[in-house]
Amino acid sequence: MSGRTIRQVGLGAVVVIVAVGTLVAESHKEYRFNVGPKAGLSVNNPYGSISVKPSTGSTVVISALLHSDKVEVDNNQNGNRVDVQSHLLSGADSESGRVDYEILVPSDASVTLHSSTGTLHAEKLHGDVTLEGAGATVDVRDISNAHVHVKTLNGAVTLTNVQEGHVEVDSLSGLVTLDHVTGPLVQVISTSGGINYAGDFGDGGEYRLTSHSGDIEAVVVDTTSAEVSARSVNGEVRDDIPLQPKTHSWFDVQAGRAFMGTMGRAAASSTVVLRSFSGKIHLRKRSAK
Amino acid sequence: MNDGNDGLKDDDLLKEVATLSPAMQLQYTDNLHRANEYIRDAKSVVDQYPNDAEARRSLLEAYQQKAMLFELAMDRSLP
Repeated sequence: MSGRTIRQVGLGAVVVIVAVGTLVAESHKEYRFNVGPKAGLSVNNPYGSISVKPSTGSTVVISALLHSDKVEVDNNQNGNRVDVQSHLLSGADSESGRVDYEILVPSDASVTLHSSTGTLHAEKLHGDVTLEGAGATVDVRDISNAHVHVKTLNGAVTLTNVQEGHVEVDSLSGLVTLDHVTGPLVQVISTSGGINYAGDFGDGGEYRLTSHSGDIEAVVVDTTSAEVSARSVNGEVRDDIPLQPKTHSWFDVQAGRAFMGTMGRAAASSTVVLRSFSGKIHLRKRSAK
Repeated sequence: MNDGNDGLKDDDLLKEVATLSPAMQLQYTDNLHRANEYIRDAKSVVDQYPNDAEARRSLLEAYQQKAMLFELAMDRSLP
């Protein structure tokens, strides 16, 4: 056996040992809590994903996959509120301290999720949803009549089909994508991340999309009715939709740097504000398929 | 590292991140730099147009972004 082969066999053995060790250390735990209407759930998970979906009854079901014995799951029910904490033990790191949660809650429950690194996912709920995480990727879909608040450092944020709630997204550098998101207030603030909006800007809402250096693109459908103002201090601003100009504006509308006007009905229903310092802003209609 | 006059001590933030979450230090450093640029640019617009409400709002938002950076760095989810 050549030296190279010996090294390969040795490496293979190490891989097998590590894999077996990992398999042995992994464990699955499940917790159930009976709750009443409009329950609250808070999950704080330093490393790993959290996914929340609606349950059929009035039970919170927490399924946790612990990746090693260096992490425990602490949980507590106080009245109608359930708190879950991944408790890191000595020596835990981002791999050994990882816990992946799959959680079912009554659809009217309010949910608060924290993770530094994992994916945060919530869907088909109508209780308030608050998601925070430094590098966490956020995916929220099919939320109605509830507020959605998201804070991330650089994790991408995707909101799909979120209706009739206050939506506030703050991200330092993650890409923020809003697909059919409407409500009385929809606000995205980013330092360097891009912002993409696709939809119709709803009915009677205020939409504010702001990025310091990220690009902003809004793609709207034909039926959109809104009063739009866009301004980039140093970036390019482009409007592919013929807007009815306003008789006066409260800021200097420089060609290529700003535009302001109404699309759709003369009495526009929503207010849309697009702001950037050095990013590009582009407003266009959705292409016919 | 400090942008000088906003009262937030950047070095303390980076030291905290280095201790609590060293794997994220580069990302925090980069984002802190960008947040300070945001504040600096927003301040320059306010200086240029002191009566522009949108400019003042933009400065507030820039500070909020930096405050959020600190909040995330000190996040209770960190080990």
